[in-house]
Amino acid sequence: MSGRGRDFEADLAKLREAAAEDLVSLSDPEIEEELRAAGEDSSLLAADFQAALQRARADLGHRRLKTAREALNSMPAQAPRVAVVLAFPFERKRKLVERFARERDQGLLGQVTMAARNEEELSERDINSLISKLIELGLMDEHGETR
Amino acid sequence: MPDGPVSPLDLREVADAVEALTPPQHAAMAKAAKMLADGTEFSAADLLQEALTQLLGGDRQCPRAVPLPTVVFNAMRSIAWASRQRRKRAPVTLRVTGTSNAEEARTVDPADEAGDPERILAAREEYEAINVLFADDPAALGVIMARVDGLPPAETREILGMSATEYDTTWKRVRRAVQRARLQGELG
Repeated sequence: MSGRGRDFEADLAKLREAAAEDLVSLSDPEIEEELRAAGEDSSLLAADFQAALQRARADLGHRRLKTAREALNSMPAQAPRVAVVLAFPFERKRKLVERFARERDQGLLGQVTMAARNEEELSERDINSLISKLIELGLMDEHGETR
Repeated sequence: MPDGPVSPLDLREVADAVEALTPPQHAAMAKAAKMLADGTEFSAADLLQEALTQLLGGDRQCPRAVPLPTVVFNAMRSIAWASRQRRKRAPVTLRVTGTSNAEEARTVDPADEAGDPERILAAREEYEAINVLFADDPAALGVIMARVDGLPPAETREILGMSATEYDTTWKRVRRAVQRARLQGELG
């Protein structure tokens, strides 16, 4: 059975695999008998299995938690807010901008007054752009309320 | 819901199947882990845990038609085989006797060399101890050789002139004697 160049590790592994495969396919009484005959304590082995199972479950729990945490971390801190104010009628948006300019921003008021004086109407696009800028700066909320 | 009779168990079914295992089956799988962990980087406990983690987590499929203890065995065998291959490929550091100078240590590639000499020697000694154990039992030696060579039982019986019962009894005798000898430290 022995010889030069023989892979003894592989041979032993095959022998153990064959014995282990047979063992797990036996009926419960046969397993008990086989382990007893081999000098093993089946209750100690069963406890080893339970311990390994508990560790496997804990390992999976940690893995799932880690995955959930990574998913949470990859989400944006806050979902982008929808600027409801942009959907208001043009006239209402224009008044909001004028009021803001009057109360809070004399520079902006100047632009609006100049436009009115020159009989140049600010377009809806101009108004939307101004409102978006004010929301971005945190000076107006998405409902058109000044802060 | 499973797609059909050949679909693998889903994660809930795997968990249920694990719950339904009996204490003797637990013991058999733990013993199988001890047998398969030899020569790997895993302890028996770690090998069993790794197999269970892979099955319960869905990293390894659980075929519906195969009993769970056999599925766990197959998972452990596959993990153990991969580990042995890694160890065979891992570079071995040899040191010139009588020196502690790290520069004199030499790394060899087992693909070019014989591999880890200590492990090979231990395996050879264990294999020879099994030969000695059955020196007066030619039927047992025949069955061992056939198992190592991967010969199917039917072919082995034909070559050795054994009945099915004689073959089963001989193989059972071998399994038990080898395990007993290992537990008693007689195989190195």
